[in-house]
Amino acid sequence: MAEIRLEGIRKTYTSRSRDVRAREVKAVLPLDLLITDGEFVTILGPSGCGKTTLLSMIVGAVPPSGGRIRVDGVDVTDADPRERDMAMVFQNYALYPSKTVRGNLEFPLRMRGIPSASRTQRVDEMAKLLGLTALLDNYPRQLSGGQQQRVALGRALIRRPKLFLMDEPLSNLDATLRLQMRTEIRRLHRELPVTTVYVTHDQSEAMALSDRVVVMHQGAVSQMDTPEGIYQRPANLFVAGFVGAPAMNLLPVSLASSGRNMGCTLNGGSVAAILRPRVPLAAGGGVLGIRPKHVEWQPSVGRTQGPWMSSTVLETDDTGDDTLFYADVGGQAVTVLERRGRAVAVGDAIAIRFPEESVHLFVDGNRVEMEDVPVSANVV
Amino acid sequence: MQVRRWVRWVPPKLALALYLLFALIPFGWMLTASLEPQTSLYRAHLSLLPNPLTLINYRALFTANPVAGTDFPRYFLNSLIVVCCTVVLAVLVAVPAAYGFSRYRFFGKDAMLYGILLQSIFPLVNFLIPLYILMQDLGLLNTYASLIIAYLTFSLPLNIWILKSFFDGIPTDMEMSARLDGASAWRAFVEIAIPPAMPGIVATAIFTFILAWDEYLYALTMISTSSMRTLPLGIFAYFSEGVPNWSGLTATAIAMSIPVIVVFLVLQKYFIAALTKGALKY
Amino acid sequence: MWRERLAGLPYVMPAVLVVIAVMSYPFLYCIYLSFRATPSYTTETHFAGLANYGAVLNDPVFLNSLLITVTWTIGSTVFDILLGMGAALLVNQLTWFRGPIRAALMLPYIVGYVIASYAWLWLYQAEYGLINELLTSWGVLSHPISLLSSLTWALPAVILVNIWKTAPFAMIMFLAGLQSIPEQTVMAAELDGASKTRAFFEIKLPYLRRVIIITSVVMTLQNFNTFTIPYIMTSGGPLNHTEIVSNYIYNDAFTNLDFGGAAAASVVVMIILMVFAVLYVGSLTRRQPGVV
Repeated sequence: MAEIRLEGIRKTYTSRSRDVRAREVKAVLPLDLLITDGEFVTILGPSGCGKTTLLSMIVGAVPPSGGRIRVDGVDVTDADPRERDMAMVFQNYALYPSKTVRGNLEFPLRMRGIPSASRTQRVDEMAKLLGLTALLDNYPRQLSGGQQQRVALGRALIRRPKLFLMDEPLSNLDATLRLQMRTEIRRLHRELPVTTVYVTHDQSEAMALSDRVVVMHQGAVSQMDTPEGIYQRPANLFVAGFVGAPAMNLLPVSLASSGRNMGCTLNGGSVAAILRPRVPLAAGGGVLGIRPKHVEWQPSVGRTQGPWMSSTVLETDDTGDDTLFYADVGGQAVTVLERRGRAVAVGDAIAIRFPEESVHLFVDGNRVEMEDVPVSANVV
Repeated sequence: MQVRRWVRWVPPKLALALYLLFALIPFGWMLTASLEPQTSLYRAHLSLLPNPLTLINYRALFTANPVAGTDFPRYFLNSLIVVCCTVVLAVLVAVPAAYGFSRYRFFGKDAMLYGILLQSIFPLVNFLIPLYILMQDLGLLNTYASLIIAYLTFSLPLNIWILKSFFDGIPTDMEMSARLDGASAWRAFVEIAIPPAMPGIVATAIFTFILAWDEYLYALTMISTSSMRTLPLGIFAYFSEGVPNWSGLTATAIAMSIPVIVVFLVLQKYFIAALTKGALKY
Repeated sequence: MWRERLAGLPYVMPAVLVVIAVMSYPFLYCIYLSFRATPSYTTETHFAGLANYGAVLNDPVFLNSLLITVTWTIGSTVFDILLGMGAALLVNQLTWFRGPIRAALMLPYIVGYVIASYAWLWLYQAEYGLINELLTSWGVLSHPISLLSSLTWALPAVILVNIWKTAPFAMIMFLAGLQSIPEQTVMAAELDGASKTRAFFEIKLPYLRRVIIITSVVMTLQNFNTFTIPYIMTSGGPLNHTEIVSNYIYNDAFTNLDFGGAAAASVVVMIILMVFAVLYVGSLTRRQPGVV
């Protein structure tokens, strides 16, 4: 267990490509990150965002192009992976096929010269912790995916490394198993609070497991915050659209100020919301974000008035638990999640409203902070 | 930390350098000898640099020397004809065979396939005696045909093995959709299945080339007239004199190596890819 | 694959016919010949029962050649595997010049047995060969010797030539094997604290088991069946010390003109090889859960 500090870590790949522009690929832009002792940090992002490269640099498989890595103050940037006292769980488990489960679990201890009696005891403890006691004499080939993953976890944790790294460990498992293992990992972290860095593209995993989330996009850090912060206060368009399923609606609006208030108008002409930014904005364009579950709607009766906008249902998607539907608001498609079981049919005329407290505004890609003002002040 | 890195780096590179030396010195030594006049060979010297440098031995290659029984151009031509015909025929025979074994089921298929592969565990001498008698009876001794037939056959087990694994690795989807589009089985084979198998076919050609170019035993047995000799036999002529003519011999050896080396260097990725596939197939 | 039972036959027929004509028929004819006496003065043969086999199996020259061949085969194959594995490990680590170095190391294999024989004949040459030059200038020898005429050194000398020529094949096979080892598993071993050697023996080697077995079998067969190197370099001498089985059969047939005897010897060799092949196919198909 240790404190990990990344200072200015970056990675650039240079190739001798004919296309001059493609020559320098900035896989990871300079970043600083402090992970406190025992913290569970997830690096979240789509494929190609640099998260695996970052992990590889931390573990020592890829040398950074710049920056330092410190473990408990010790600079390990030039050290071999062997010497960093880190452990890793891979997407495809990377178990030793010629050894039994016991052999796999024992291996790190043997390599560090730990005597036999002590080894056996620790292996038995770890097996009990992970529910593997009955499988100790089996070979990896005889185990299911979930069992193999648990052996991989055990092998990594058995020597109490300073840092525990996981590279998309649940991606190869089917959906039910993935949820189960997620709980397992959370439980393990409670029992053995090792400093952990977890890499994934699955935002629900990140939300469920982490103390903090680092969202990466095209090599750069988009936002570094608690899961709650990422979800409720996305710092930019990328995080807003990436976190949360179904994805947040991101609707282009034009902004016009009237006094301290700012009116956001959709392309079709409807006024979507009236907001009060902390810092006054110039008129212009922006993007309005609202999560499908926050969109309020009701069947249309007569003319719409006030903050309500008239709309027609385009498509519905009934998943059994909820209904997701797409509504046309003045030419703009809005995704709405209906959780109370009300019936929706294609072609229905409905009215839609975006409650101000649930609306996010982005200008030039970045979040605009709003004043905390009671809703009534924004009624027109 | 950096010093330790360097110390660990050196021994492997040294070992590799030694092996490289071991692999290449024989060529270098032969090359040197071939570039020196005969007289300078007979003094002891330990240098890789020809001294004095001369091309006289190579020039001598191009003139036949009936007294010594050496006729490089003729032997080269013989080898070329035999080997090229062998390669072409080997490909023509092996490719459909491998395809047939890969794609079809028929009575006796396993017996035929394993029968073919099985024969390759026996030494070539075993087939030699009966074949010699057979060729004698057919009047094919001292002809290109005798060698071509033999080489073609001996290359088949390996070629079919390589090609079959290539065909096995190509999904049948495209051929099936071609058949559905109305193509005959043969057309599907030629136009759809063969193109993706080209690397394997090239590898097969290379293997056969290397095998046939170097083959000695059958050439020795089937060919007795000096005008029909292939290169492996031709080199031996330099030994027939009392003191072997090392200059001529090394020059001939180098000249004989060049075509094979060129073929390999140009097409090496196919060669290595095929061997790699074979290694991992199991 | 399609069920037209006969449709596949035309594709394989040319190959099958050629093999039957050129290999199967001689194979059977060889067996036939082995039971017949073949006096050299006539083409007539008559049935001779097991006389040829008796002669061959009691012939000290034949038994000697078997011994020499076994020594040759084991010596060559063992060092082929070791050298090939070593070279593969070294080449696998290379980042620059990997292609050219690999190509250079393959050259001995590519140029063939004939060139190998003549190149090393020149190296071993009694007066001016490189080997002699080096050994005399390093003081190991007082005067140049002819290695190939030495009763003790001739066999090792030709085995060395065979190793030189055949090891690159092993190298390529092992390179392929090494590249098929999952990188992440090796990284896991490194993180677990394994040193390079321990990682090789405990983690990598199990992955290489199959390729090692296959390469060993293939090379054993290839080496056992060689003809060219001893024939060109020493003609089986001195005093049959480098005469391997192929040379024996050839000499029996074309020098002694005893086709029947040579055929019998061929059959004995075939039986030995078939037994060997069967034994080794067995070890390939064995599949325990802990075997990769």
